[in-house]
Amino acid sequence: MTRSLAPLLIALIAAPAAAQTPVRVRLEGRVPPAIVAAVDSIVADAAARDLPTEPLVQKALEGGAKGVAPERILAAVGLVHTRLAAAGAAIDRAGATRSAAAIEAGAFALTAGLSAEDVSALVRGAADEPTQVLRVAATLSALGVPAAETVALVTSTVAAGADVTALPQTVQATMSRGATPAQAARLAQGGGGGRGQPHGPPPDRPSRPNPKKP
Amino acid sequence: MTDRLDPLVMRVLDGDLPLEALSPALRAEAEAARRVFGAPDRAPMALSPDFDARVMAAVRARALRRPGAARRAVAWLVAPREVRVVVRPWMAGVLAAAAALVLLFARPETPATGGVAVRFVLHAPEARSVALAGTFNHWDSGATPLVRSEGGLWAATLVLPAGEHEYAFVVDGERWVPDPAAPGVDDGFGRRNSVLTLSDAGRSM
Repeated sequence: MTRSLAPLLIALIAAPAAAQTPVRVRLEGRVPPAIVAAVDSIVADAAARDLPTEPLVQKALEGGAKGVAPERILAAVGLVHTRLAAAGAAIDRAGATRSAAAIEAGAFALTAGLSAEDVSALVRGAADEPTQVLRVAATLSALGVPAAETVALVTSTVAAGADVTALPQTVQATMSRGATPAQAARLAQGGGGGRGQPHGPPPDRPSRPNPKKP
Repeated sequence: MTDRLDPLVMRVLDGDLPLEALSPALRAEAEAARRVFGAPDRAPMALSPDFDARVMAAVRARALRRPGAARRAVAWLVAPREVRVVVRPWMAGVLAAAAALVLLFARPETPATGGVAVRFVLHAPEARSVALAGTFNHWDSGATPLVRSEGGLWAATLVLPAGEHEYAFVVDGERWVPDPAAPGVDDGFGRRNSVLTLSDAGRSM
């Protein structure tokens, strides 16, 4: 074994081991002791509902690292659990197959300001790439693009067979030239992703602001 | 995280650049490196009086020793010799096909399986330390310190898998600062986390 390979091999051995480490062990010393059992039970509940559990552990670790009060950490972990469950249900409603990655991407989209209905609509229009589409939509929403424009841009781009993963950078580039997120999204939709689609939100869907962005 | 010296500092240590060509911060780094690397070299070394005689005796003993058959065979195998390769015109097609096969089967691993190298940069000239904490290092603010370079820029490069990653910079060990160049989401604690999304094809969104 050469010296340069040693850290890689250690990482390869350590990574799966960390994932299998009991939640309590991962939390000990990182979060207030008073909430370890409560977080552990939230994680167990998520596992029983076939939801991914890593985002719950991560939120608890984040709260501990930021020195947040125990009750706020617990509330935040509970909110992540709610979003994971909502994302899973939204994927089910769209008739798509659940995967941990898709549920996490859906929860990310909810955190970024999209609704459960938006998640269902995105998954319905996503063909066989729901995870990718949800990640793109969440990123657009995090950039400040209103929900209606986000859904319209992503679904029309998928329908046109264009590459959705390029959308956030396209929108960001337009925003850097002074456009608002909504304007940038509409320009991106008109500029190629949305062939055959009208500019702006669909006529039956009024534009609404992104609640996460002032 | 990296513990490598700045390339400009390396050039000063190699003697390619004068120390004065560096900024004050890099100059301090170069002087520190010189102290570490240079001290053993400058220490006087005392050799024993019979050093020369012992070395020469060892050299003569090795020269007189006749190598065994195995050692001679190895020496013959590894000895450099001239090899001439003549490429005939009819060989061009064969070589092109072989090259195509090599390219086909020796493609580098796709980023989707190997991760994507991402460089995180924060401009914080007043900071004494900057670290990166996020979902990729389990929010351990001591795991990924950034390295300061010229102009108050702090940077680190990480290899990350596809997916959504939330993170923040930790300035001076206590201040959580979102990345001004990245989109952000509510962290659930009254602050904002920065978001980095990597596609399955290894592209940063």
